[in-house]
Amino acid sequence: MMVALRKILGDLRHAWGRILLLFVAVALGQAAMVASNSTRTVIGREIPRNFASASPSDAMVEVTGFDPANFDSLPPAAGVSRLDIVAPLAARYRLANGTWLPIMLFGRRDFDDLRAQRVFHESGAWPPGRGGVLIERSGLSLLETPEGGEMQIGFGRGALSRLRYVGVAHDPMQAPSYQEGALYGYVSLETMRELAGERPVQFLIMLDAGANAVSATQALSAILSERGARVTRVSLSPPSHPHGDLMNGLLLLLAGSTVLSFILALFVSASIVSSLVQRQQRQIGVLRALGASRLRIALSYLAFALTPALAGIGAGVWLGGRAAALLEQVIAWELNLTIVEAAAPTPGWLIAVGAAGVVAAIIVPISASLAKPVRAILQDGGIEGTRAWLRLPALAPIDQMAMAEAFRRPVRTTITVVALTIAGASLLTSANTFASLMGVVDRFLAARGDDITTTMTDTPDVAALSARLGAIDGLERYELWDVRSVTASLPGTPGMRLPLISPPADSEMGRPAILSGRAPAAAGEITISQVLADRLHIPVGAEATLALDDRSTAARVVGMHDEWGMSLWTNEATYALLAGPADRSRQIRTQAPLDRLDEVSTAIEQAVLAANSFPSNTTTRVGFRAGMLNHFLNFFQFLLVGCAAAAIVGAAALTATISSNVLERTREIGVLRTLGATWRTVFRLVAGQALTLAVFSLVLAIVVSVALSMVTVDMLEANAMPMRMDLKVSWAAIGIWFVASLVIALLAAIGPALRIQATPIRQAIAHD
Amino acid sequence: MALIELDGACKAYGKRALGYALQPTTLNVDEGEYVAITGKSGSGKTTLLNLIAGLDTPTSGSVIVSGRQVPKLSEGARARWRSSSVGVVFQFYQLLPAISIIDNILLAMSLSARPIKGDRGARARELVRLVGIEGEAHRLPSSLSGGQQQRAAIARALANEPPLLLMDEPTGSIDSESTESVLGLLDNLHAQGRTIVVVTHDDDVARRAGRQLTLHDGGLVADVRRAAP
Repeated sequence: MMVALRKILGDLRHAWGRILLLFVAVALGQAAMVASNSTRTVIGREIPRNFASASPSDAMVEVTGFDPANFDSLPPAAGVSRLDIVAPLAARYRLANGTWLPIMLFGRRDFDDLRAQRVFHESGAWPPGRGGVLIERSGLSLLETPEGGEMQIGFGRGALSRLRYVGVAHDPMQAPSYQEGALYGYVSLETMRELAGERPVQFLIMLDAGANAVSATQALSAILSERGARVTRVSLSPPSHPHGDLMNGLLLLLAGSTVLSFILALFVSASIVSSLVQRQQRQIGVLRALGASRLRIALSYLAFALTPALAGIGAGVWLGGRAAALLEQVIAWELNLTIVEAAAPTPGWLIAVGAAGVVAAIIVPISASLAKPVRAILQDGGIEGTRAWLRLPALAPIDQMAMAEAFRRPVRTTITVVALTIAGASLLTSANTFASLMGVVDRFLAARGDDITTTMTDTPDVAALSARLGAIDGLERYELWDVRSVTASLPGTPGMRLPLISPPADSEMGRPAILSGRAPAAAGEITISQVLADRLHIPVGAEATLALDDRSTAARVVGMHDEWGMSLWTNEATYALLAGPADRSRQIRTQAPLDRLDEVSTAIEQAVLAANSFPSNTTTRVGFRAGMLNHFLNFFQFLLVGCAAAAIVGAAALTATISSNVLERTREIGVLRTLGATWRTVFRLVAGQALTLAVFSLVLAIVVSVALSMVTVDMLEANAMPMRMDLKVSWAAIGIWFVASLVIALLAAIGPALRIQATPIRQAIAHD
Repeated sequence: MALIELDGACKAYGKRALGYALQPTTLNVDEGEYVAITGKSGSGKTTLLNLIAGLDTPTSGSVIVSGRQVPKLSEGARARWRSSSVGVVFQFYQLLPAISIIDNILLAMSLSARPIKGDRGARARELVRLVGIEGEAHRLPSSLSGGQQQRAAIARALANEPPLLLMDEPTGSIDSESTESVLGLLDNLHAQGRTIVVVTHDDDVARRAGRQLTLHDGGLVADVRRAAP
């Protein structure tokens, strides 16, 4: 075997700990880049593909009084290229234990000729046939009925019917059922008519290229009106997947952080190679004194460090591919996507960038080492002392020495502190965001006076309902509220479907806080939720038109309220203008003990059915919070994986730094042991350095995370949250990261401390 | 009364067939003696000093210092014993470079297994005054001359008032003027009753001691006592 090769193998064997750290740092850095790139490629391709495959409508016109049998005889409307109809019905599916699960049913005209908002066949029957229903695939985990079995479906006026579950469909336009806590079902229009009678029909419009959406909806509305139909609502659809921009933003954020992680991994690699070369400094001097050229020595050490580094690149490409596959599955599940083409081979440029970065990270410390004159290397008497910039006189001399050591090498210290800060800031930002999200939920719940909200499809027999509610064991107090979904035409919108809420005048269940303006007082006054005002830039004083069935009224926005989602609040006078004096009491708000909410809410639903209405939706305080918690936890867990990778890189950086510091101070630690330092003292010195860096990084991480959290909260509030969001700092996460930092520091210290303690004192003192 | 007792103590590195760094040696050093160990490079001087200081363990034989069988102590117990019983001074000073001279002394005090009476700071200041570098007490070692650093190293060795001072080539890295000053300091310490063992290859240094041990190829070949000058 060649002598040079034997030397490389020998060096690798002697420095296996650092070699392993180098391998891990490079592998994680490369894996992060590959995973991020592959995920962005696949998801960036599949979101628009899924969206386009569904033939999304550009606009929708909802009408009543239209017979779907006349659909084919409609004349073409200007600007409309394709047209289809769907009849939606908000209903409920009865579970075996007697409770209900919301189900959104869609009556479709022809399953073999879906022209817009297409759904796809997954398994079972297609089309569903008379009395049959196809269930959206993301809801199968919520479904109790076996395929071929009958589902009990309930809706208005207490009607109960049965649908046979005959197959599974995929609807790319719907958020996953498990997130929404609701099923989606697809039936024929005939089945829908038999189930619910005449229903409003929604015309789904796909525009000609360049056509104006508003003009097209007006043209179609005119045609439909001529045929006796009454237009009740018009809306325009977003031009892209509803979650596409948010997901692309998140993936871009992920890409940015992975590039940062990769750069960090390169710095950590450079630091590790620097310490490896440092250890061999005397050997390098001797080799040069013997006549070896700098190039030859550089190549020898390059081969030495490149072996684990290139292995790390290879491992990183493999690991990144696996991580990307996992991440893509999670995102596909979260967005209800079908990934048609999962493969995204790692591009050559990405491997080349990784390899080039690693070679650069290795060459720099080797070159720096070779730049020293031979005489200087051979006469190097060790490291000079520098006075510690941070000095706490109250500390014992050994701890002061540890602090001085921790900051002695500025570049190395910076890399380590940055690595640990990134890891900590990632975790703390994620936790702060999670806490802020849950803060919104808790603020919303705190402002509400009720524990159970039951919404009904029709006005009940109030006397009968009141009698039954009064007899429910555990029900402490209830109020009947006026709530209807109205079409609101606000400045800049063609008409939005929004809940109009009117509490009883003597309500004790609370109203949302008014953030600006005032509460509605006179007839025709409303407040709108702050999030609605922010998204549509609606000021206090804006004029609006509210429409419900064949009634409409002008309204004025007199304030903004703080509530979950987009809503309108008003007073009984305004509500009566729209719904009339008789059509009232569509919602029951109830107070009950928190440990009896399920029991009481089931009894309320029974009371509603007995009062000749139907409970379209029931939400409990505990259930709502648990649902939101679960929803946000999914997102948080996803982020935690990234935090864990950053923590590993940070731990590798800290271990490399402490290891190098201890190596460089072998002689001094030998002297300490000569002076009587025991193992505990040596460990205190080594661990003190690691703890100093860890605690310093923790402080920086807290500062950075607060800034990042503010940006994240602003971004979420502007784009995704249904309510004003306040920044919350997670003290629990700070505590957890504090403990984790201590553990990382102690783990990083224990190896070098054991190694130095195992070195005989006479050898340590002679170390150069 | 013997402070150091070696009975057949020897040291071999690797296989014994390669030879002894220190051949089986028997010797006693009494309290208050000033002993110089001389010999050429590789003669075993430093090995002998390391055995006495408990920095190394003998391959066989016994080493008793201050009545303690040093090799039989555990690593931790040996460290604690060393912190209070022995002061060691090296050829290249070996001061801790990241902390000041006074902190080097205070650090040694903090390592002592034996409680130090009185104000440590005052004692540290007294020591730097004793070795004549009171003006440099708060400077880093790297800013001092070789002679000043060696004086600081002696002050540190005295921090815990050890009965025994072991010195390995204490004048090997300093100029002649500094050498004379360091040797004068050692004379004073000896006069105060301190037991001093100095490894040196400098005859001038050896002549200041009351007893000279000479090693050759790991063996003790001469043990000469001379009258005090």
